[in-house]
Amino acid sequence: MASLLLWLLAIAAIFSPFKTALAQTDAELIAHGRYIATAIQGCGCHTREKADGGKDDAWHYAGAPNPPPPAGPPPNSGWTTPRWKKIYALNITPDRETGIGNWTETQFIRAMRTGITPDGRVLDPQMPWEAFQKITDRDLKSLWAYLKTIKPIKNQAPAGVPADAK
Amino acid sequence: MRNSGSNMSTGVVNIFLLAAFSVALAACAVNPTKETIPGDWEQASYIERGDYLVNHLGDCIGCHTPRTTSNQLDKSLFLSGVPAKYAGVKTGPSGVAGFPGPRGARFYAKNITPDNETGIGTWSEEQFVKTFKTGIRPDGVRYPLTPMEWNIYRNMKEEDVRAMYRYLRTIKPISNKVPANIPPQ
Repeated sequence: MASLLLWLLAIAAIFSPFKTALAQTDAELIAHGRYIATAIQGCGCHTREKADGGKDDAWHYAGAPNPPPPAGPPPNSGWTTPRWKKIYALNITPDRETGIGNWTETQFIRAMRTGITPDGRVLDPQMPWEAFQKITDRDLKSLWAYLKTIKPIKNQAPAGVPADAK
Repeated sequence: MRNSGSNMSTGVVNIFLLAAFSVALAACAVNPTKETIPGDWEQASYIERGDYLVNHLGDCIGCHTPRTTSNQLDKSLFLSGVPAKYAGVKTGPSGVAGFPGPRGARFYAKNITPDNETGIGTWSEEQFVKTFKTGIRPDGVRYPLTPMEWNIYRNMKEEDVRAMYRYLRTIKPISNKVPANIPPQ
């Protein structure tokens, strides 16, 4: 009898992990994506700062203010790179007009790994897509699942100013 | 005789059960839905997980490794922070001029190589973990809120912080005294 019970337990133990591995629910992806976004890869460049240096939660992931201030922390006033006099973090909230609400998961993963956006632009390496190339499929899918759940905010981030602009 | 035969078949069954349980345990260990670290990892070890966090998912290299003039990461200065020679420079990318903060503040990415004098070579794993949990350095100095986002990183699972520490112990120590932060005026 005890032997039979052990058999049943062994069989149950063998099959349960494989089943869950195949069927990762949306809730599990979102929870994992939330962990990435709120603990590891803060994506902090995409949230402007308040005067005290803390993040402005009212504009969470909505990109740089438009028009941008001439000076201050880069999430507000932009970054300088060899190609850009000023480059601004984009709105990554699910807003359909000014954010990434119309992107698909495939487009998101392509942008994260190659810097190529759905409209064909190549993002400056200031957005670290070179480092992100080796992020696992599961982590990217999780991050995408999580980003779709955050509040959409309307904010058209400013266009970049090329390095050779007068 | 019958007794010994029965014992033998019980023995075979038990060996099979043991094998079945071993397989089940191994399967649990790689179950990707399990949120408990390290069962949650897709990497094989603390050091590989730390490598993944530092170089890819967390992109520590983006701020802590200086760039060449053509904007490529300068691997010869891997994770050694803003070079000392740029102290006082006010304009340019953050790897040269630091990050502007509120009211004239300027923050410089630190040397996180295991160099004893200028990096984090003397930090213990526990000090590293505590710094991530609190944003306060082992010598008691509180880091500014940004650009190193302590209020985000404090949410990291302890196992992930330990993984980063153990990976950072494996990289080359580089002597570079990063310019001192300029606090808000």
